[in-house]
Amino acid sequence: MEHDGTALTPGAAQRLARVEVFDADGRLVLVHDVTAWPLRIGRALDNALVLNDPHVAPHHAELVPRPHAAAGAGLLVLHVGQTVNGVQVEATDPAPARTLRAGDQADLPPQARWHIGRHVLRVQLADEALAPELALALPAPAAWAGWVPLLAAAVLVWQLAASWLARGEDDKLVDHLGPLAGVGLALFGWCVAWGLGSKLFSGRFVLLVHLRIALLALLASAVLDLALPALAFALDAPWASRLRVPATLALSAAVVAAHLGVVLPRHRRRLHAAVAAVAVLTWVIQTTTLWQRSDRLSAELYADVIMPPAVRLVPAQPVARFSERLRALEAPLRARAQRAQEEEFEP
Amino acid sequence: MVLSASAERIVEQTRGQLLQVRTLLKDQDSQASVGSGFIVDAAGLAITNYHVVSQFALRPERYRLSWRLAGGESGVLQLLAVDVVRDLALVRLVRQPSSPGAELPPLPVLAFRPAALPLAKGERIHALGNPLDVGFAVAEGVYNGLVERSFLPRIFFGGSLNAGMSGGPAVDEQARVIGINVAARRDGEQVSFLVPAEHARALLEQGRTARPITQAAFDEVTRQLTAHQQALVDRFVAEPWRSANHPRYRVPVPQENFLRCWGSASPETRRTLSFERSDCAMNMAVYVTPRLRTATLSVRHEAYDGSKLGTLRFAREYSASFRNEQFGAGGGSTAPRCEEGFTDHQGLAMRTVVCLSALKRFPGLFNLEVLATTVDQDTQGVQGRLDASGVDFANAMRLVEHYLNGFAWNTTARP
Repeated sequence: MEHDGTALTPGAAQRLARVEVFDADGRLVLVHDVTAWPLRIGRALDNALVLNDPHVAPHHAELVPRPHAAAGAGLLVLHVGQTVNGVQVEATDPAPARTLRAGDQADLPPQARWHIGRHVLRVQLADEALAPELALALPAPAAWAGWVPLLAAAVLVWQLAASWLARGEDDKLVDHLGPLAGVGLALFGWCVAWGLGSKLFSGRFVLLVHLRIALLALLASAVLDLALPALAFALDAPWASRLRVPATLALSAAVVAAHLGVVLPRHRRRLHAAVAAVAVLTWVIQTTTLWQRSDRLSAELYADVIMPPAVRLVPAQPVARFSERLRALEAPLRARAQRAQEEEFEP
Repeated sequence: MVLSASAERIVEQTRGQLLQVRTLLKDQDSQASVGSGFIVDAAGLAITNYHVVSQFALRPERYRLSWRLAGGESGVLQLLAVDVVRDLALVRLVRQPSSPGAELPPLPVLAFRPAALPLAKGERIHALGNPLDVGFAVAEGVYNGLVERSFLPRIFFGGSLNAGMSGGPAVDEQARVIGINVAARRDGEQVSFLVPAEHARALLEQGRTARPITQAAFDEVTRQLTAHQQALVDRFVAEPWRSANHPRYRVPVPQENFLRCWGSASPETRRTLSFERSDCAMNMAVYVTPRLRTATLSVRHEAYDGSKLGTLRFAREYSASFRNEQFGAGGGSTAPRCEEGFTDHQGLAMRTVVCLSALKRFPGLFNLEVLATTVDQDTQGVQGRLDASGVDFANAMRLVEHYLNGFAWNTTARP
């Protein structure tokens, strides 16, 4: 265990600070332990920290502790040497970003990232207060892993039931194995693709989490496809059937957001907001286009699923009363035709 | 084909009375359509089809009409009157504006065959016109009486009519007009149709002193269509439904007085969903524009038996059929608006969808579509549909009630 030293004065071999050096792609390329101040940085070999970068001056900068630093002020001072490119210090709340030129000196805020040439540097002082440990973004597989086979079984049963309902006169069960295998392969491919995304951005190949999301989505989609038309038929509520399109869009967005949240857990909130915005925008464009083309907000002209008689919960109304409801259609249709008369007419 | 001696005589006798009617773009000589016509009054009055001059009738600011005789003389046509429903128009021949001067001299006319002299089936008649803009021609054929099951009287001409002959006369052996060329069936041979001459004679008397039409005739066309749909719906609603002979339901099937019904059924060997289908439709529509043919009625139904399927599979197939319907497909109308719900007539519950769309330039006229399906049986059902085009709103409501009230339980099958 290392000694948690507090002294900013040079000591024998005591680690006073650590400088992390990143390349232009954000990869950590060097970690330099500081055991004595000042820390000279440059391309020349007489520097303590040598950066082999053509955009770095031989003696580019020097880092020294500020004596008697006040609380909250920078504890280190950066002196900029004879350099053409200077040093660019990134913004840290509340300090704004700034560029230091040759001969400048400035306090370096804690956790600040600063650019020398094409490298990015960050200093961690030995006595610096550390942020609390972050919980791992990925849930422990063991907590829910057992559900995946159950979900997969439920999806399989659903697909078999759908195949059975759709089977033709001369179909055999084996005829439906191909499509079933196709669904399975597509599901697997989808999850592998997202797993590779996780590997690329988070360093872990995650398959089960993505599989769980995809299976849940398939089940939710199946439930939506059944429940909304059933509700529409049972209660004579066509609006429920018309919810299928926006509900499916919302479900698709939720699935993509969930996968993205696993791939890039640190940006989960922003990604969810972005996916939600895209989904809403898609719905608005679809609905606007539909309205312009057909004066309707839903592509579905009427609730088109007929359920078995036992599902119907509301009574039928006499023809004369239904006919009365139709009268409400006359005025808007006449108004629409009137508007059309003002448009160009080509016989 | 060798022309008979009478045909040669008729060609000679009618040569001076036949004209080609051309619709031209207002500002250039490109022709938008061609048809035929014939002179019926020495003062230059001629008869043709409404559909030959419809572009001018509805867009006179964009089109103009011209005439040309077989001898080569030509001039401008004025439109005096139209009978949209029977597809007739009365026009007047005038000289070209570029050659002012004397009025046209008295022109030779074709006489109408007296109404008191009805033709007998099988009599030879001749249709005249300018087919496909190739040249004036005569087509020999046979008078076959009036078309059966037609709401409007049409003569069945057993001869060939081609595009461009529309509006030309059909004459008897004495070159007297008995009808006006109007249409032909393309799915048969030598099955063509004529408008009886009496309607042309009536239009001549009605429009003889009319002033030329210079503004779009939407109002007049709407008036005629409105009157026609009233007569059509009155007659349709007055006729009782026929039985579809379904064991459980009374299903409305129209009389075959002016609709023709076709039936089909699934093969007997079918082990899943079996059905019987009836499809009744009028065999003619009123031409209004190239995109709008209206004043039609059709009724059809499909009776399904899914007792070999079970409840869930039947519901799936039944829904697929219910879903597989087109609405608002007609041109020249607004997007459809629909109302749906469960309806009940004499205890029979049905899921009913009614869609209406309004004709865009003919105010007060609508297209109606009614879809009704029984929802009381686990594995059996009937889906029916009524379509009516170009009806006013009150008649649309009459048709909805008339049709939905046509469904009921068979008295013997009522549970």
